[in-house]
This record gives sequence, C-alpha cells and structure tokens, in this order.
Amino acid sequence: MKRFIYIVISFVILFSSCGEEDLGKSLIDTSTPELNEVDIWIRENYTIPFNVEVKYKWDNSEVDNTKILTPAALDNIIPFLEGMKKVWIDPYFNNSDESFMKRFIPKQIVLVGSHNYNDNGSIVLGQAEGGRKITIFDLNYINFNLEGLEPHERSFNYRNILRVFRTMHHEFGHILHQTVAYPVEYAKITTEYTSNWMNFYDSQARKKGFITGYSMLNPDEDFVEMLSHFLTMSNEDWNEQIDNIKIYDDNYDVDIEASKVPKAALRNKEKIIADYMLQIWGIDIYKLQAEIAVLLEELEGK
Amino acid sequence: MKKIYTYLIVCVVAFFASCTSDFESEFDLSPDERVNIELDEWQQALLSSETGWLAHYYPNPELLGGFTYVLKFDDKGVVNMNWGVGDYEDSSLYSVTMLDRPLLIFETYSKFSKMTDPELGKDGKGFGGELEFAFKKFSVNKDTIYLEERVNKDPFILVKASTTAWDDILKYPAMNKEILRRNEKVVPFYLNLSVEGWDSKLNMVYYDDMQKLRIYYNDGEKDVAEYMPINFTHQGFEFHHAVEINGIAVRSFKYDEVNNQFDVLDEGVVGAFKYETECPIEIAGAYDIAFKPNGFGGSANYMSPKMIESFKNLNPASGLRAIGYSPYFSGTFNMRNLTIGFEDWNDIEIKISEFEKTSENTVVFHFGEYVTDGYGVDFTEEEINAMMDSEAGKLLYDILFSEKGWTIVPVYLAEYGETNYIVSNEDPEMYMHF
Repeated sequence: MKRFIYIVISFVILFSSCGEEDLGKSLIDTSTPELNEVDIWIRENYTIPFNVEVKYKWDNSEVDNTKILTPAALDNIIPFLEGMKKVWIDPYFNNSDESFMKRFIPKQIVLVGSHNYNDNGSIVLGQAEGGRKITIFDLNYINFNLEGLEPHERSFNYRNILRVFRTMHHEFGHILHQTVAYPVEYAKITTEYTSNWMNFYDSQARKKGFITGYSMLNPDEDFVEMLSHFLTMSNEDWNEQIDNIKIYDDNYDVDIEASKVPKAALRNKEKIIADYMLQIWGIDIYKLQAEIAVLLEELEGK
Repeated sequence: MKKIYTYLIVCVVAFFASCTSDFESEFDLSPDERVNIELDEWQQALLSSETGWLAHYYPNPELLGGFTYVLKFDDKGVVNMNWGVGDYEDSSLYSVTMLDRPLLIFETYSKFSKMTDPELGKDGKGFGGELEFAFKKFSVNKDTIYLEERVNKDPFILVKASTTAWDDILKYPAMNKEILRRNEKVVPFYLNLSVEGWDSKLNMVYYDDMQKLRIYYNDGEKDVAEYMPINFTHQGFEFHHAVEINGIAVRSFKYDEVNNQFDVLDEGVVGAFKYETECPIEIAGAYDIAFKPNGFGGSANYMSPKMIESFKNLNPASGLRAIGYSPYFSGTFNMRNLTIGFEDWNDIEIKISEFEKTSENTVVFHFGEYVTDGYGVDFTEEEINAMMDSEAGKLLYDILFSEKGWTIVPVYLAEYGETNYIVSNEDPEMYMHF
C-alpha cells in the first residue's frame, strides 16, 4: 500500500514540476560598465592578479556617514596604487610564499581624498575592517610626482608619501594579527597605554618604550606601529632612532641607565615581531625591510 | 484507510498549489527595466544642454552664502565645471544611479568637492554641502532640473546655462571685490540700501569668508538684525531670500560701475545699495560686545588712511615709525591708550579715563592724561603740550574726544575673526578696526 502512495506522490510531483515557462530575459544587468583608464589599470594590476577591488569613486556606504570627507582626486589614484604596489605588495610577495599576499591582501581598498577628523581634532589615516577592507584617507594632500622639485619640497612631499605608505603597512599589520594573534607577552613589555596618546610627541613616546605617540593607544596599535615603522625605515635609520633615545636627569645630563629601559623595551618588541612574522608567516622582516628601503631611497631620490 | 485519504489530500493540494498563477502586474515592464528607463531619462536630461547647467548652490544656508557652478555633463561619466570663486576649469567623474532614489553623485575630487572638504569652512566640518543629490523633477520645458541633497534635503537646482555662462562666471570674483572696496577711502561698512516705498534704510555688513551679510533694518514695527547668505552673479549679487518691507520685496542687485553702487534688479522696484557716512540703524548690543567686561578688547590692528595722516601731522619732522615693510605704522589704540610711534623712536601716549555708552552702538571717550614717563616716551611735558596745541593736535583731540562719539559696527572678516570697526561720528573717514 505504501508503495502505491509513494508512486502517486511521485507522479504528482513529476507532473506538477513539469511545464516550460518563458522566463524572459534576465533582470540582472550583467553588462560590463564602461571602464576608464584608471579602472583598466586597477583591473590589470590589482583585480586580476590579487582579486582586489579598489574603490576610488565616492560611495557613501563605504565610509562613516558621520564624518565629513571628500573623494580622492582622479590624478592621484594610479600614482598612489603604483607606489603602493612597489613598496607594499611586491616586497611582501617577494619575501613570502606565493599564496601569502593573495590570501591576506585586503579584498577591498577604499580611497578617500580628505583627512578624516575625529571630534578631538586627531586624524584617522587609515582603517582596517576584519581583514577584508582597508580604507586610506588623505590622498589629495600628497603630490606623488617628485620630479623637478627643490630639495626641501621633495623632502616635504616624500614625508607625506611615506606617511600614506606607512599607513598601508600599518593597516595590513592589523589584518595579520587579527588572523593570528601575536604573543601575549608583547602587551606586557610597556604598560603605559592611554587614550590620551595624542598628548605625546613621538620623541616623548620613544622615551617610554613606544615607537610613536599613537602606539600608546593600545597593544594592537603598538604592534602595527612598530611593524609599519620598522618596514618603512632602513635598518640603519631604525637602529639610529632607537640608539639615540636619551633620558635626561635633573641636571640635564644624559641618564645612561634610565635611557637603557625604553631602548630595551623597543628591542624586545622588535624581537617578538620578527619571531612572529618568521614563525607564523615565514617572513624575514629584516630582508623585507632591506628591500623596501632600497625602493624608498629611489623614491626619495637619494 | 485514513492514512491513504490523508496522503491523497496532501497530493491534490500540492498539485494545485504548484500550479503557476499568472500574476497580473500593473506595469508592462519589470522593476529593473523601469529603473533603468528612469535613470536614462535623468541622464539624458543632464546631457541635453549643450551649454551645460548653472547652479546656485547653498551648501549650508544657515551658516554660509551660496556658490555658483557651471556644469557640463558628458556621456563618458565626466562633468566639466567651473565656479564663481573663479580660476581654472576642473572636472569630476559623475554617475546617475539608483539607491534609495535616483541620484546624481559627484564621484571624484573637484571644485564641487570643496562643499564637503573638512579643511575648508568650519574646522573639520567643511561647508556642510553634499556630493549626492536626489533627482526630483524637470520643468515643463526641461530647462530646469530640480534636485535636493540626499541627506539634508537642501535644494540643488540646475538651470540650463546661457551661451555666455562660462565666461560670465569668471566675472563673479570682481563682484566680491566691489562689495569689499578695500583700500578705498570710503567707510567700508556703511553700505546702505534705500528702496522707494521703504520708510527706512537697510544696513549691511559683509562677512567676507562666509559670503553672507549681517543686515540691520526696521521692518515697520521693530528693528531686525539677521544673517543673510548671498550668492554672487556676474552682474552683482542676490540675497538667499527676499527682504520685504511695506510689501516691497528685494532680492537681486546689479553693480553700477558709474555710480559705484549696487542697484536693485527686482522688477518694478527702484533702489540701490550705496556707501554712506552714517549707519542708518542703531545696532543693538554693539557697545556691550566691544566694551563689556571680558569683551573682545585687543588693539586696533588697522587705522584708516585719514587717521594715520592726522598722526603724521603731529610730528612732521620725524614722520611715523613704520613696521618693516607693512602698511601699518608703529602705534596702537587699545581702548585705554592711544600710542603713536614716530620715526625718531619717540612715542606719544594719550590715556583715556572713561568710556561713556551713549547708545546701543555709540561710545564717547573721555580724556585722561598725556603719559610722560612711559616705555619709549622721551618727550617732555612741554613738548607734548606743544604738539597737542598745534593745529594737528587739536584736530586729533577733537576727533578722539568729540561729544558725538564713535559708532561701533560689528564686522566679521576672514583674516581677523569676529571683529568690530569703531568709526568717528565727527568724521567717518576716521576709523579703526579691532
């Protein structure tokens, strides 16, 4: 009897599901939008090789609607992305296994032209969201063409370029530690983290064992500030910066013993970062630093 | 048996339920097709003007005046533009897209992005404009497209540009200069509007960096003080909204080069903004702003040419001591002392004993003493007396301590912040800026 019932049900379903219906043409517009020169460059250099979408056109839904922002200038898009590929993507690509960059490069890069001000007057240079998206601000205040500039202008512009490249290394660092956390010991090396970080100059922060004022915000920011500064300085400059930390006593003489404390803290952090990058990601940050330093020297025109 | 019936009923229900019913849509086309048609309609409207579009855009009418743009959209997604602040042409990518409504979006940085640039206007807040505008409607003949800001809903209206609009917009900055009239010997703020049929005049003070006015007038019943955003045109300027007194409304003004004044352009209305030597209205609270405890205080950083001339005549043999190459001389008036520095490195210092409030916006200074032992003062008492007894000295004394006093005019200029002029009622060409 049961067999009979199943046969009836099967027939009913079979006949009820039959029938040819003309669904008409698709409602979804699958045509390729017209691409301009910048779109094509992005497709060839970011989207096809790394599966990255670069959004440089204004899209309110990609940014914080409470902030006052402007779009990026069209002329700055390719120079910025070209430079970024040189000093960020390619060196990582050359110093890791082939899949590393393809796996961890953020799948969406959003470019914004203006500063992103906080209510306290500080400026957000970049934002990383869950390893998927990086937003970079400030693009309109940078002149990427250093050709023919006077040395002081060149130096000024270079510092701005370096800042935005450093921001990208900073945000990428977030993606890495958000994927695999760094050792908990790192957060215990220096403990003077504060939300009032903006009250400290970088030189003051270094005397407390932090590489910049912003790294005093919390251990995560400390970690990526260390990484991004390390990777965007030559090893010589890096060592010089740490070795030159001086704490003065009441007589304005250098207190050698006191000066050793922040230096040791920074070296300790450096070691943890180097070990983390090598053991977790297979990247020798000293080699990576050396490769980037050559590129930055070329850019600076030294 | 019961089970068999149950299964059969389920099968029959399933059979009929699976039948396709022909849903009769109210529309011939799918939603997606209709959206595309609407977007295309807006796109074609933008492309339809060969001369482009003119837009007077007030990004934040409560705070700022308006900016004028000429915009020419092409079918490659590029909009070329210029604005009334006047310099080179610029371009941006744009899109016509459907989000919550059909929108026009200015996608890359251009002169239009100045409206949202946090570096301009209010610190970190910009001018308060937007980059996304919702299409609302066309005019019947499609020579006007009405849009509104996506968030704040302020209007953004595109009017088909005239053939001369791209040249005309280069003339806008000149109108700004005509209102300011810096370096002229006129009192720079008694720009008064007289209109036939009005019982009193309207006085305006121009806030340079915000393109707005502070206007003072009597509406027939009471004194009114309000901010009025303005927008320049190639001929002159226009108010954000009309001012109506005695049923006569005025809004647009055209610069008359021959008479150096701005004539009313509104149809059927006769009147003009002219520079005059008197403030037509008592500006309530002006004295208190300048002289109340913890008021703005400070020293005069600018004195009118005639005032400087009167100082120079006190000691013609020496002349006034200049500060570097600046047009300012070494002298100050800080509400308590007038100090005049001469080229021979000697100063004269006149102390004021008292300020007397004589109306809401006027003050009389009362003489205190001549300082003979102050810093930089090497004149003897006899020398100072001789100087002040001279014709130039008496003239200066009479102006400074005139019973007519001085009028205080609150002004706002970009380079100085919230500031005031103090103008001699004896001779309005003698004035100081604080």
